[in-house]
Amino acid sequence: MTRAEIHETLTGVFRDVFDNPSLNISDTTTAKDIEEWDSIVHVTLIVAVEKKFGVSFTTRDVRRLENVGDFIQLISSRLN
Amino acid sequence: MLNSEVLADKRSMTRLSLRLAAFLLPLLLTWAVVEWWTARIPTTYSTKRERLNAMSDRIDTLILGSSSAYFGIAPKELSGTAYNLADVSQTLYYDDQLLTRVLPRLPRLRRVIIPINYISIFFELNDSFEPWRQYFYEQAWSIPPMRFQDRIDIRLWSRVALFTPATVVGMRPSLRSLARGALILPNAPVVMDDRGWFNKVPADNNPARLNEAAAANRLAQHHAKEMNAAYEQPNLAYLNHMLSLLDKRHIQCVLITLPVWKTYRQGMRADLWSRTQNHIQDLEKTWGVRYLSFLDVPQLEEADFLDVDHLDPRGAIRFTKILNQALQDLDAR
Amino acid sequence: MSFFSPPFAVFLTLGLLAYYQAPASWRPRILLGLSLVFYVSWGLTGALLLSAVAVLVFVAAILIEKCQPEQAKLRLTALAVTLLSVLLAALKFGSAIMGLFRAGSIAALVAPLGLSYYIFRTIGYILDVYWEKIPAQRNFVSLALYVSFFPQIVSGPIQRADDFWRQLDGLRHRGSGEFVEGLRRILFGLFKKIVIADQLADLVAAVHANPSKFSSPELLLGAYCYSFQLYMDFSGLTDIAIGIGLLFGIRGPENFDRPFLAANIQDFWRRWHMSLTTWLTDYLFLPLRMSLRSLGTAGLLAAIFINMVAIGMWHGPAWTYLEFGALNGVYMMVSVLTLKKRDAFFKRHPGLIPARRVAGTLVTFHLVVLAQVFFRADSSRLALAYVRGLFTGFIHQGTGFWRLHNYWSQLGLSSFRLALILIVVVATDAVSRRHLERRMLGVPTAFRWGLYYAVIALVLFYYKTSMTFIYAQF
Repeated sequence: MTRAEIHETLTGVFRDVFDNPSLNISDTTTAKDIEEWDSIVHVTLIVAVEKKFGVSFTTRDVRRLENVGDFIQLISSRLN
Repeated sequence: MLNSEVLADKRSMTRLSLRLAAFLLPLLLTWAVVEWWTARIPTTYSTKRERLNAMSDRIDTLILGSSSAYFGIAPKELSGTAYNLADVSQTLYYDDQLLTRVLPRLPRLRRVIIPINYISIFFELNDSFEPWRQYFYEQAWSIPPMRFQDRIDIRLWSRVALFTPATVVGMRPSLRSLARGALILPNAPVVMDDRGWFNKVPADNNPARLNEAAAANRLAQHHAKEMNAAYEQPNLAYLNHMLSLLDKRHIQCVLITLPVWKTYRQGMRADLWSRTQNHIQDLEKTWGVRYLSFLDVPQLEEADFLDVDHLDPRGAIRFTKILNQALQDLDAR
Repeated sequence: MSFFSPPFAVFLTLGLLAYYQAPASWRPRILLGLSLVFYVSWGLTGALLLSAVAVLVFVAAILIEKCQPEQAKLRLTALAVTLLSVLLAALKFGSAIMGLFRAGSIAALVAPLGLSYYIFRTIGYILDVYWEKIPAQRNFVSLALYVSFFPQIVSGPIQRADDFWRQLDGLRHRGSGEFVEGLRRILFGLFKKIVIADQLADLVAAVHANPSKFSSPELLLGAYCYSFQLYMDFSGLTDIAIGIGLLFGIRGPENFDRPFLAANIQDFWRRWHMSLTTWLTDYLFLPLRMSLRSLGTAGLLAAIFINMVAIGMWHGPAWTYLEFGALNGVYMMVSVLTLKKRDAFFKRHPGLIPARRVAGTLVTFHLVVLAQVFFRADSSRLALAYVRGLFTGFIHQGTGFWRLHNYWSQLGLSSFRLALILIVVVATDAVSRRHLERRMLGVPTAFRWGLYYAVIALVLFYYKTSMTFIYAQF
């Protein structure tokens, strides 16, 4: 998958988890930018991404994420 | 760091220090003014000292001791001119220090009465409920606290710290009464007579104040908090020092034990009291002092007692008459 | 020496003089020296333990980073974290557990100062190195200072290692702005603790000592007062800790963000004792949740509940702390399970949203007040008696407030003083929030200084010494 494709699929996951069909994310989006994004939702998001992309993350992976850009990077590296 | 950075840093620190100083200045000035103002307010300690000085050339009998003597001995009932220098929780250390200081000023002194009660030999002020009184002694008489660690305290010289700021704010005296030099603290009416005797004790007729429970409470307080064997030797040293001073000047010394109510007497621990008795006997032998025990005075009744170990004003007058008779009998012999 | 003692004031003044007179490159070392002196004043054995932990953590982190094979890395980390956790648990809960089994000499185990804080700091640091979030610290002075930094060691806040070292690096360029802010924080912290928290203590102690003697309204008032006392006490202490750090140019993390305005219980725990809750989120909840994520909702609820119980137990070995944590766990689980439904409901009825805000805040506040009754209670029995009294006390004890009246009047609250205190309360809460702080600086100097003088006067007035008024009758 290309970066753009990952971004698009990821946006879908976000919209699903946050129940907001018009949500948009960029590389610099962080948890602070979305009101309902707390530590509980965070793992729900992780699980949803794992299911959608068919990958698996470690706690280390998750702890190192600073923003959505990192996330896309991580997904990309797992897929290849 | 670049030199220019260092310079800018130093300049900002200097500016900061100046601003801090400017901020603190009004505070320090206010503090100084309040200190000056509160220093002019008389306390029991300063008043006792002033009245003693005023009569120093006439005093022939000096009374030391703690609250039982402060409340219980009415100087005007003694023949001659007596002065009551006792105070609440005044320990043997302070009796000694006071005596040392005032002796040179009392040319006519011929008798000193030193009360020894149940706790005297085992009691120290810094280990009591009212250790802050140490600082009043320091401020009024320049008597330093006994322990070194108590001597590093702002209350040695600061009245505001000693009274506490909350109290100072509550004082609000009028300048006119300041000028008159009256005791102006709103809840501190003149409680001493001009011979140092505390004679305005509040009336309390409740018979429960003298019952077994009350005595047990008071004694429990003594045993748990105020009596400590570690103070036995130092207190004896103070006693011996006082007696040696008096011996040198050929001033008669009389040790007494003030009256207590029977419930208190019954609750006193015999082993502790006999230790004190033994020490008194030793002192009698060594210095030839006389000991008068008024622990049990049958003529005194319930109405004479404020609580289990203090007399009220009526009791003090009656007791002092008895004491006076006993002293005259002593002299006659 | 406690923060509130005269020797500490002397220590701080001398320390600051040395700090600012010395060359800037010496500052970390001076801070470490000061922290050591401060800690030793609380006991030599504790200081030795602290030093041992610092050395252990320093070495362990470097080894973990150097270690390449994943299995070995994991084992090393697990070993270090387990060791630190066992140390914390043993010293904190040891005497209580031994008391339960009546074994051995109970007196021996006393937790040294700040144990919970520095163990948490070091565990967080080691995990961050293992997760490759930050590189291992090669400078022993920097690490030792992180572990022992004296303004934060007594009662937090729990600062993260990378944040701390970033501040340390920037020390040379720090100006005087932080210094004054530090003084302000300390002043308002003292105000919160001495003028407000300590004054409420007697009233709260009275109701908690004998809850069955009081009516429901009295118990409710007592509960409100306690929550307020706790908030003022702890946020005041935090302000003093952060303020002292700022005097030296180091900014600690905030612990409170207007917690009683929280809209729901999750929000509350994002605003109360933040440095602890974020620590638990990052180092307990997240790893736990990740390992339980295959269990779906059950896993989520388990992780939440365990996390909340941990918050409770962190405070000490008491059943009431456990109950406090468990109660909050229940709150959180219920809230999390129903959040989606509640959100959906209000999306359908947007007119009710303002009502939701108000009701949500009130409900959350009362849930918190209830949980804090357990936090304060001296025993489970008393806690339950208190709660029972809250709901049935009006039957047995009437509805009067008069029994608490003498505590209220003891506070000596003339309307002038009350107004002054309220003004300062508003101002102090403003101080903790950076954007309002900037607004406050815009106020003319005369007014600002007047406010500071008023605060100083109030602190001095309410500072309780052990002395009673000299003319009090024996």
